[in-house]
Amino acid sequence: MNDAPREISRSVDSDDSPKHTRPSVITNRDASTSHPSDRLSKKARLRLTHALIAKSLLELLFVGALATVFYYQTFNPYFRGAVDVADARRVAGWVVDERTPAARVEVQLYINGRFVSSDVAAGARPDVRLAGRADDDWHGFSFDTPPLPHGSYEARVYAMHESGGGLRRVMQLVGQPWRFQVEVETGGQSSTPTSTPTQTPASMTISAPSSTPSLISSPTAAPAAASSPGGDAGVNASREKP
Amino acid sequence: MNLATRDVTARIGGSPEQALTAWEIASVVASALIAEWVVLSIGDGAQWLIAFPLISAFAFIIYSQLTRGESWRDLGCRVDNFGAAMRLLLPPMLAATIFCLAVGWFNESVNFSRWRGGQTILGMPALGFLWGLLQQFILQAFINRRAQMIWGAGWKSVLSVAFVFAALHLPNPLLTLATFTGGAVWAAVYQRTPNLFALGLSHSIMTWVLISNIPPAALHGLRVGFKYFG
Repeated sequence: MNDAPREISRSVDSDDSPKHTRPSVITNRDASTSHPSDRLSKKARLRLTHALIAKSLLELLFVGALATVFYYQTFNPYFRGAVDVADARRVAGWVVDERTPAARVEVQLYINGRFVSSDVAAGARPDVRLAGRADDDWHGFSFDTPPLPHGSYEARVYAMHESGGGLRRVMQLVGQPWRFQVEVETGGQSSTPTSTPTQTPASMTISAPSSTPSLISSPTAAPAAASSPGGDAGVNASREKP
Repeated sequence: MNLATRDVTARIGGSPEQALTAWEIASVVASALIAEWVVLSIGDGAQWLIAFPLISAFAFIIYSQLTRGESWRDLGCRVDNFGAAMRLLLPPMLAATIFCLAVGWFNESVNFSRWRGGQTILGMPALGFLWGLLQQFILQAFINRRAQMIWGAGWKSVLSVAFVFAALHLPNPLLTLATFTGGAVWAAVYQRTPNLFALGLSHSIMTWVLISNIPPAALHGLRVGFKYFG
């Protein structure tokens, strides 16, 4: 292939200049043909190297800054919240966007990976305010669990975040996934729990995450109960330190 | 052969200089990839940020050319060899035009009114020429010349220019193929007759021929980089 470069290097510099009048010696791969003046001086080489390093660093910083800003805008890291209860009757908890504490957060419930319902976390949760998480009481959510056949389930609640002028919507898990068991089919007549009304229905056993001492709490009552975000032993306390 | 051509076609010799030259190419290609794949992925409202990698690349290109003592004439900004360059460009341009017309006729997609623009900046003749000239400036006056400093004039440097040009048009398959072919032809012509105006004109004409004949769906709006998916 040595002929090819030689042919190409016969540059037609001008329409008027005689063509191919001088054979190329510079494309000859022989090192002896390399022209000393074609080489960069040490100083020029150093300047180019410095410029390349500076350019690389600037672009690295640019991409890093862009990635960071994009992350903060797209995946809101300021969501705080927890699922306090998930069973065959309901899934409840609270969520606050700490960047804009007065805003209500849209939440979506998924059970075993399937969308169940969407709502806005605007239920009364005075405990959230008392814990210093929000300026007002209205950050709770409570979904009615749909009728479910006997089996084991996992409930996940996601906070929705919109960015890019509505072009992007991302879901962020609130708290941790909750596993619960339905031992008697819910919904219809056969779903009537066999348990006593004063305790957690015997037909439903709730498997809460470890270090979760309390299983059931009302989002509208007993704000200082175990599920309170400010409580010492609440569900939220185990996941979120107010 | 004048000094300019000799400058380009001379082998540098010594791996540190070759490495430095390769780094120069990689750095400018990286800037283009940042613009295509990072900035455009941010979405609406942030496109102006594309100015950063572009300015960075251009500033470096100019600095490098000044440091290496390359004159405008060396780079191909000249008119004395315009005719010679066009004579070399015409046969492949004619062949490509016939091919595109055949494809357009077969697909019933010939529509030269797309030239009016609206879809892309390339639709407008004046801006189309400037855009082509700009691309050829980067591709030939910088990348091609440095590729020749590493591998010498010939198929290696021509193919490397074509690969770089094609890579910058990923993941658009048709455009990648077209730019590889066009990049190889333009690089070979530049090595023989360095004239950026002829190459810019050829670039804009071939773009016009391409978008006027190839079905728009196949060209995917000439979108490249992350925007291809959007």
